[in-house]
Order: sequence, then structure tokens, then C-alpha cells
Amino acid sequence: MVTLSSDEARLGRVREVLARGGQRGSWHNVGYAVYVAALFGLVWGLPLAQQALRAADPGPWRAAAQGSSPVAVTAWSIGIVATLATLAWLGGRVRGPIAPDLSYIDLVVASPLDRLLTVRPWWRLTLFGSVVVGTILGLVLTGALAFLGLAGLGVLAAGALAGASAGVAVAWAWLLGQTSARGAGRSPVVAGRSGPSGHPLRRLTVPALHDQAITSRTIGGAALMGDLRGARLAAGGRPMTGRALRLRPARPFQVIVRRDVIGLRRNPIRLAAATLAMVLGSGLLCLRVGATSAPLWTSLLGALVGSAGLLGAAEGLRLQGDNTGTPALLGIPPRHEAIAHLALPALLYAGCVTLAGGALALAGLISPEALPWATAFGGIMLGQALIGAFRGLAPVPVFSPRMGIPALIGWAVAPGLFTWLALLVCIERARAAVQAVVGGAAAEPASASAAANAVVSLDAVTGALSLLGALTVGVLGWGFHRQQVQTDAHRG
Amino acid sequence: MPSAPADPPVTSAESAANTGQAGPAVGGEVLHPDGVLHADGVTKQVDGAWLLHPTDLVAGPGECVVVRGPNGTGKTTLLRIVAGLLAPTSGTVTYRGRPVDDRDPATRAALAALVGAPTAYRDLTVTDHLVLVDATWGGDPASCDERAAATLESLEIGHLATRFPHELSSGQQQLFHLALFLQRPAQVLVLDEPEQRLDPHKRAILTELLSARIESGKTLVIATHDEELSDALADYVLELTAW
Repeated sequence: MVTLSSDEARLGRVREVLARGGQRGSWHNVGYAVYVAALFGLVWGLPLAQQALRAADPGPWRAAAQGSSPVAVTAWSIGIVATLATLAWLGGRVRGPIAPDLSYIDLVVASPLDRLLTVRPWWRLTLFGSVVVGTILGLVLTGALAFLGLAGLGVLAAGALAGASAGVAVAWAWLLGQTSARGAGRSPVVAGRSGPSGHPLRRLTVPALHDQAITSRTIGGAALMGDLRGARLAAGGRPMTGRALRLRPARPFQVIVRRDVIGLRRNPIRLAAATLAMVLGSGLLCLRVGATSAPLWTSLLGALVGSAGLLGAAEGLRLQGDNTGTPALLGIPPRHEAIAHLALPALLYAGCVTLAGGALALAGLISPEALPWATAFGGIMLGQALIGAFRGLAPVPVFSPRMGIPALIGWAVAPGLFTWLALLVCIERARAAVQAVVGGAAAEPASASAAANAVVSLDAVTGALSLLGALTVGVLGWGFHRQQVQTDAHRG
Repeated sequence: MPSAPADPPVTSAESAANTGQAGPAVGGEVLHPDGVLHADGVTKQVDGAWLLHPTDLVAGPGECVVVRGPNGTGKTTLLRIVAGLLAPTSGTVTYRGRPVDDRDPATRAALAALVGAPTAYRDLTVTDHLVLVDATWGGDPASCDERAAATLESLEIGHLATRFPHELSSGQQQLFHLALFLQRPAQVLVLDEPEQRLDPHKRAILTELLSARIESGKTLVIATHDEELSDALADYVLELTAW
């Protein structure tokens, strides 16, 4: 009978054989990574965090730090950790922390050895790495607060403890995400080895590990080749739900919109995440535009999160981009198809602005004038979605030895960065316009200053509208240009 | 600057009508004065390498041209050019006197091509795909479901209606692609080895379906290695051979 201890002995012999290849242990690599991360956090992280807090107007931070109760701080911390853990769980369904080589999976994990033992090194590495990274992040953030005088040095210990705890939570969420992925966790637990509770590591199946190993290799290879489409397709889940839903016939434009609706209904996680992001993002944008005291970070984060949410809802558009180059199958011109694919994300975004902005306005936190502005920002976000869907492959010069990885990263992020900056400029101009209007309205109606304010308000609104209109047209035009280029690219 | 590639050797060309036999070597020409689909001297070169040597092809309504030849002789390249998916290096392809180019809505309306895997959406079921295709081509919404079901039944894959594309086997994928292809209206059908991965029974069904299309006046241009399919469909055979 095979016992746990003999399994350990046999696994030890396996590792000896593997070590003959001359590979250094993973713990050496982890040790080096921790050293680099700690150094990086000290040299760069701390100063950057301080600068970020300063740039984001430390006033509200100070007020928050001084006015917050321990309960509020705890609630915020739990919310942040829960968000990170959810993201880790979702990530684990695509690529979990247990990621051995294919050969190790086939030859060792698939053997009768206890699976807990064969895959445990990866789990220990993950747990250790998460705790270390969480601790460093906690120290950097609380250290920045302490250096700015917003909190005492005692907060460092709390930050380290909270960071380490968050690391543990995120690591477990990542693992549980992997065990909840399709095909994982269905293998019968080996008799007599279920352990105290059937450890999640024992629930991992060879096919699931195999799939994830291949997926992660595909994503890595595609990313290195600048093939964002390939990486996305490899990472994207395949729907298995909503089979009973039927696409109802309609006119060409409407049926494309219905296609997108049914696609999102079959992917409820995507729908929920996109909606949540759009509500959060548009709420932050409404705050920045319509509330005098809203700090700059609401603008930065709102633009980022709102755009991400809208991109998540534009799956149909990306699928059209994925299919460019194939023979025409649909009887709708590609340009019209792209416009139809924009309809659903546009409507969803407008709905989210109404929901989030309306709630904030009703609560008296923002001026209602912010709502139409926040809605109009959706135009640039739609342009971002178009550009993203029709990126295509990285151009050949990016791969020249002289340019290297930075050029590839630059190619990948440049359009998003540019359009994000365009959005930020518009948000700030809109904020100035709304503040001018609100300030003008507050002046004595019959006074000379009121007349002057009216002129200033009109100028501010006209200027902001012109800028927003021009940049929206520019970004959308760029997106449609990319769509045309990609649609025609295959003609060679 | 790359040097111009040498001219390809000139070979004789003649038609091989209704025989299913191989025509002449590369650059075969099928003569049909009343044809509506013309490929005149089309070639394809990439960096000096010949993917397709000068080739002519003419096909009229209710006719089928079968393109045959060993691997690497340019069958798929020819089909992509004929379908307007690929620009020829030289020569022209016209349909009813109009240049064929899939960027042109008229080309897209007239020519359907099954050259490689067609458009598919991972979040739609098989029947959803057919409804989508039918609806975007202006099919009557009231009877769209019936047409979709009929297409699936014609290929004997009605039982796959609620599956997602990634849940299909290799042969089922091919049948799904054929269903998508047959669902859309077109005057000219261009197919690249449609028999691949199909069992003999399904090949027979495919042959019947394509024969019915020809009888209804459609033009077929098809590349195949299947002798039976070729014999059953071919009005003309264009044999491509390696240089």
C-alpha cells in the first residue's frame, strides 16, 4: 500500500531526477524576486506613492484620515480586498497559481502520487509571494501616508498586517478560481487520501491543468508576438450557459444588436462586471465634473474604469474584429455592422450614467449639469472600443532587434493611453464649464457680475463642447479608420 | 529593390468540358463565351515567389468549374482571388463585367465563399448563427426560423441546433460551416475542399445540395480532391499542376 510518507519519498526522488537538468530551485527565483520587489518598493514605490498622494490633493486624504472611524477604514479595506480577491478568482479560472510544465503534468501529476504533494510547491510559492507582495504594498502605502504626516508611524505595522492578510486572501481566491474552472475539481478524490477536507489542490484534474498550461503558453506567445486578439481569444471563456435563449429574427441592424444582447446574457459574469465598472466609472466622472470638492483621482480612475466597463460590454464589436479577413457571411456592410455593435454598449453606458449620476444628484452630491457631460464622454469611450477591436497585429518594425520589448509595449498601450488622455482633457474642461455655470447661477441675478459670469459660463461651455466634439469625432474617426484598414487588410 | 520575377513558361490551355478529366497543365483555360464570371490571366506572386501562375477561368449560370491539382499548385489562392478576397498580382476577375472585390457590396451580395473557416461567434449557438445570417441578408423575419431549421435538416444536423461552435466535432464544424455558407443568398458559390472531414454519407448529401444549387442556376467554382464529387458536379475541370 502506498502511504503518504512513501509518496513524499518517491516525489523526492522525482525531484532529484528533475534537478539533474541543472535547473535551480524555484525558491531561489522567488527569493530573488522578493529582494527585487522590496528594493523597488523602497526606491520607487514609496516616493511615487507620496507624489501620487500629493498630486491627488492631500487635503481630502488628511480629512479622511482624521475623520474616518476604524469601522469605515475596515469597511474600505474589506471592500478593496474583496475586489482584488474577485479579480484573482476570475483570473484563476483562466490561469491559476498551479502552473507546472506540461511534461511535469503528464509525467508526475498524472501519476498515482498524492496530488497534494505533487502540486504543493506551486501553491506554497504563490502563497509566499502573495504575502510578501501584499506586505510590501501595505508598507509602501502606509509609509507614504506616514511620511506625509497623514498618519503616525504605528500605521506601518497595521499596513504590513493588512497587506499580508490581503495577500493570503488573494492567493486563496486565485486557487479557488482555478479549482472552479470548467473541468477542474471533478476528479474523484483518491480513496483514503481525501485528507481532512479534500484540499482544493487534490481537486485539480490533469486535463484542467493541461488546458490551463496550454492556455497560458498561448497567451504568453500571443502577447510576445503583439497578437492581442490571439491572447484575448485564448483567455476568453467559452459560454456554456443560456442555451435556451434564442436569437429572434429582425431587421439587419436590430438583429446585430440582439446578437450582442444575447451574447452578454450568455456571459453573466462579463455583463455584471461591465455594468458595475460603468456604474462606478460614470459615478466618479459625475463626481469630478459636478462636485467642486472632488479630487483629481476621481477623474483618472473614472475614465479608466468607465472605459474598461464599456469595453467589456462591446464584445460583439471585438468578435467582428476577430473575424475580419474571412469571407463575407453577413449581409450588412462591415461599417454598418460596427455601428450596430456600438449600440448596446452606448445604451448600457448611458443607462449607467443615469443610474449613478442620478443617484448622486438626488443625494445632492453633484450638480445635475454633470449628467449630460458624463454621458457625452461615452463617445470617446466608444472610439476606444473601436480602436481596441480593430487593432490587428503589431507591425513588423516593432519586432526589430533595435526596438525590442519596450516598442511592443508602446504599440500595445499607445492608443489606449492617447484616448485616455483625450478623455481626461475633456473631463477637466467639462468640470471647469460646469463650475462656471454653477458659479454664475449663484451670483445675484440682476448684478453686473451676473452678466459677466454668464458670458464666462457661455465661453466655458462652448469651449468644452467644442473640444469634446472635436476629440470625439477624432477618436471615433480613428476607430472607423482602423475598422476599414483591418477589414481590407487581407486582400494583400 | 527586388528584381522582377522571371516570366512563367507558357503552356497550352484547353477546355475539358463535362468529362471530369484533368485538363492541361498549369494555366488551364476554360472557354465559355457566355460566362458571367471571368478570371483573365490572374497570377499571384509574393516576394518573387509564384503562388499562382497565369490562369483563366470562365463560368456561367448553372455551371460548375472544378479546380483540381496537387497541394501547393494555387487552388486556394485562385479561389480567394475569384471570390475577391485577394488581389491578383496581375490579371482581372470580373462578374457580369464588374471587377470582383469583396470590399464592393455588389461582390459581397453576388459571391459567397467558403474558403477557410468562416465568421463564427463563440457566444451564439448553431441555429442563432443561421438566424443572424438570414436576417442580415434581409430574410423575412416571420419565416427565418423555418429557413434556419430547413438548412440544418438538409445537412442532417438539426440535433446540433443548440450547440455552441466550440462544442462541435471537426466534421460537425465543417457541416456547420457549410450550413452558414448555404444559408446566405448568392449567385456564385466558391468552395475550397468542402468535402474535407465529412464521412461518405455526408459527402453524398453535400453533392446533392450543390447539384441542386447548380440546377437552380447558380455558378459553382469548387476545389476538391474528391473524384466522386468532381465527377458529379463538374461541367469543366481546371487542372493545376506544379511548375
